[in-house]
Amino acid sequence: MSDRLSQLQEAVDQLMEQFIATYFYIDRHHDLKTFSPKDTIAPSKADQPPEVDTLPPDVFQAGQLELARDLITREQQIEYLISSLPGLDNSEQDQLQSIKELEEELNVAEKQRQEAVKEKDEVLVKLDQTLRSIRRY
Amino acid sequence: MADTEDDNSALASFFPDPPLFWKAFTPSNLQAYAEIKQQYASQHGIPVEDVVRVPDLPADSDLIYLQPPAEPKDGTWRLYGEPQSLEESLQPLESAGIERLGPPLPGSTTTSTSNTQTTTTDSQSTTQPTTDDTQPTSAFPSQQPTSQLPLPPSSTSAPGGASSGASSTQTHDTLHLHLKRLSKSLLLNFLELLGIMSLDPAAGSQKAADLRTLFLNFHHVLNEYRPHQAREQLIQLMQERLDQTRAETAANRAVAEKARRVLEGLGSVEIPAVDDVNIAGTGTGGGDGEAGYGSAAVPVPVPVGARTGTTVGDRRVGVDGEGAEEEEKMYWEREGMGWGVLDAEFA
Repeated sequence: MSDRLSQLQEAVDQLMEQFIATYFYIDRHHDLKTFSPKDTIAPSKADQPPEVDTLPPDVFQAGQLELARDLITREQQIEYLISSLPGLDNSEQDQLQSIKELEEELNVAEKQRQEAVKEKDEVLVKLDQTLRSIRRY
Repeated sequence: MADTEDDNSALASFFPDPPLFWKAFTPSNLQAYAEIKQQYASQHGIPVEDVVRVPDLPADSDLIYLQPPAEPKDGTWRLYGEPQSLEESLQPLESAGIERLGPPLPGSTTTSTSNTQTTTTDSQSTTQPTTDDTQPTSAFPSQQPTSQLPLPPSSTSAPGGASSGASSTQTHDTLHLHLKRLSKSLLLNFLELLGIMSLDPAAGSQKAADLRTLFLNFHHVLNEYRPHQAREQLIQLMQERLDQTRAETAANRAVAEKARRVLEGLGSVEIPAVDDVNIAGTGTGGGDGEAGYGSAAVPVPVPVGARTGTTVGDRRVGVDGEGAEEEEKMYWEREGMGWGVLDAEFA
């Protein structure tokens, strides 16, 4: 999983791809209209692929609806990602400050950890000795 | 003679020959170079492994081939015809010919002086018809101007270096709003594009260009935000590490404490017995005061032989705690009474 910033960038790229796909869908599957009653729609030639692949109105409507929904969903994802970007309230100085503090705390904690490990080892040795002497008995 | 032979073979062979300086890698040269490196390292007080390159080698010797070449002096070089720079920096939008929408991020010192100029170039470029097929390929045209106009390193390092060098106290709280505005504008512009295309397809290119500008701006803002995000992530990582370390310390202490309590409990019960055993040897000596019951027809308090001593030992290890001690005492009392009865009968 990548960080949120990369996720956001990918989401934006996907939004762009969806734009293109949506545009292509409408461009490809719309129906043809006449400007005046006298106009006629020329039948497409048999040896050429048709310019538009008109879908039945209800199918076309449904497709449009689905694509629009997808767009809105993607947009919502993007906005969610934007609002969850980390550390928008921190300035650079705040960040550097907290990094320094964390570093010191880490040093202290590491020392404490080593002490605890040493202590544990000592107790372990004692326990081991005791157990050994009992077993021998 | 040898040179001409080399040239001939280089022309004739299908694969190119290795570079000519491979002959410089003789054992004596390697030895000499290692010595120079060692000397250089000791002079500058750094470990030998950290010496990448010894400057000021005699230029006429073969030794210069034994180390990587120096960095380019002006910080730029070309790779596959593309100019590369030592300073990896984000190119400002304006210099890529893209109109900047909204305020620049805090920390980036990009000025908007060239704004009017870029807008004119932008509108000029939009006179070309832009179909949706060319859209994805033209979405990142920034490479084109860069390859034509390699910027001097001093000017490219300025915007990128400013954000890391001088730390700003401004926050990024306006970024939310800006990004949300941009994404909303994207949707709206796409809707407008569809509307325009349904009425007058020839006029759609302007809208497509707008969309392009919006997308580029979005990406640019995100890239400007990257250093900030990297620092943020570092903070998160350190916090996690800190928590982990503390948890480990606590767990270690808890275990040590528990073990010590067990030891103390054992010590109050067992340790005298352990000492007795250590003195008396491993159960073969019959002198221990507490072991003593079994087949020998002797009253209980009197010590008995070793055969029964081991069984007593086993039994004693099996139980522990104060309860065991009491049980032990009762056992001895019962046993003693039994032997007492026997003694009476015999007498």
